[in-house]
Amino acid sequence: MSLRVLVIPEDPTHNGYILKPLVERMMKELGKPNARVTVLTSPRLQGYDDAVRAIRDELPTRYQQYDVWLFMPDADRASNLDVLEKDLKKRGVSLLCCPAKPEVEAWLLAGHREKLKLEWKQLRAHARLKEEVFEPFLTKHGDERAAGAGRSALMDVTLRSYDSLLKACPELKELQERLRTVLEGRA
Amino acid sequence: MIERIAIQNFKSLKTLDLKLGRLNLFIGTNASGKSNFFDALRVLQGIGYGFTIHEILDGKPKSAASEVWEPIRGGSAKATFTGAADADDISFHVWGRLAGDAGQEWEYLVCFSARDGRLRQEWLSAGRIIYDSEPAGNAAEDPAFHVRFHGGRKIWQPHLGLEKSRPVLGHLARGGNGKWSKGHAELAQRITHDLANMQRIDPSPIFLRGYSQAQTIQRMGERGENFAALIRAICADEKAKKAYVSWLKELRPAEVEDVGTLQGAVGEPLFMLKEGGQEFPAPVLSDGTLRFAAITAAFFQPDMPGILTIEEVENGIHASRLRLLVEMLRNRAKAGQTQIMATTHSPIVLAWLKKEEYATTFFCKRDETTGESHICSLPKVPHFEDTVQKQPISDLFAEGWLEDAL
Repeated sequence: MSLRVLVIPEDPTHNGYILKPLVERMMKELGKPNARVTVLTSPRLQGYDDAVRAIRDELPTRYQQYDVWLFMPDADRASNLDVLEKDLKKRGVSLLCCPAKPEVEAWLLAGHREKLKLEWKQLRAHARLKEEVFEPFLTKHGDERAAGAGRSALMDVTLRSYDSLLKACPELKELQERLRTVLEGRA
Repeated sequence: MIERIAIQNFKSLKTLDLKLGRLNLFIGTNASGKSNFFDALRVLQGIGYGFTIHEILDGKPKSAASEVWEPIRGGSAKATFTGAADADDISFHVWGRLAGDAGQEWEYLVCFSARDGRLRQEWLSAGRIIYDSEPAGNAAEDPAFHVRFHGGRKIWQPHLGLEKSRPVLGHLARGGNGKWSKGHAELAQRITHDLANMQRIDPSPIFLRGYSQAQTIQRMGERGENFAALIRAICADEKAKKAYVSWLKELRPAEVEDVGTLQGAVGEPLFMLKEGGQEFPAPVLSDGTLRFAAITAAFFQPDMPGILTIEEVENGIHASRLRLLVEMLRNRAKAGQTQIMATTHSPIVLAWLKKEEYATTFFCKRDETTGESHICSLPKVPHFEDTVQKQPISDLFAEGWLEDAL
């Protein structure tokens, strides 16, 4: 049976195009190329608070068949995630949280830094990254006719320089190491 | 684009007034009036084609100038609201905006009798009245139909009266034998083009699995005729193909590598998907995959319609993929080229709507006593906005709450 990974985003409609290929690539890196990565779409989460509530309330019963859960929200509102992880562990859920700094879209943009006017450091601290940096970038370099307005194709480009992505986004490197520990513990 | 439509006495639509958006969904039980609304759109399409009232309602055989026009369900005999008095005529009042011209709004009213197929009233306005039958004082027994410009100047003498059976709009669009101003004729041409440029799709796997008769086409048939020829046309544009494939990749759990066409004995195309290095021709693909592929292809047609109508849009598509369907409809509606009108019976489709899309999601209900269909946007259903804060919209729909509330 393949390892089953549940990815919990704040917004499955758009973040799924970034998170699914990213986690699949990470699993490949960890020697699990056949891991089944599912982005949570039901219940339909609407923001950070809704996601945390669902993780605590309804998801443990509904999605107990998944081996690992990854909660990947935007970092702007994320707090006390270590407590959330511990609470879920008590209920038998292997949850790892990885907030994106400042938002999930930064992980895609990491592979396209040469096309951006901002310094990477500025981008990682941007208060309105999605609206003021990512949307104009997507309009210019994505494809409005494609699924996810072209996010998948742009993420493919980012993942071609996977090591560079981990270097630019240390939270992903940390997640990969934590996942490695979890997988080794299961072996 | 049709921005607002008011209808009176057409089939089960006794009175209706809807403000439409780019993406419009119609929900309700069977026989609640959804299809009658779609028939109303076809009446407007028939006016756009320049047909007579009887041709629009009762059908028209193929001619040198037009394809076969299927009758409106029930024809002229059933076109008028059942409870209406004989004197109650059918009227359509439409507020529109020309395609490709953000500033040009127009307003059109046509009133006719389905029984005798004759016009009763008609006018067109675009900022100011262009023509109006009202000041001309048309008598019921008069064999011709007269209209005047606003301001009262006659443009037709009684002996030059127009056909009473054919909406004036089409006559104006054809130039009106030089009696109309060139600017007004051009405007009418654009309006009739927008009304006629409507496409209904209801792809049937039987057609989608077969070879196309055409080699390549600009627009697919209603049931999916020439679907493979459309795929060939899409694949000829590398960027369009890449975008099209991106939707299918999201649909299929197995990795879709490519789409394309296989060839029959004389080069006729057959749709195929490539997965894991293998080609899967249309006959072995599931109904749901084919329907999704066809509906998606409709949004990549080289000749896009101004209005696309799709009944029961979710048919054959797995529940877990309906999120994708909603995203695609939203994405294509946002592009602004095509106005989408779709019916659905799926609570899951509703669950994936954004709150701001409720304004153009219309609930249809038929009054069992009067036979009248009531259609209103979700925010106009009593207590909807309060209740949807507490209960998922999918539950409200599936449990029949909307039925009880209206």
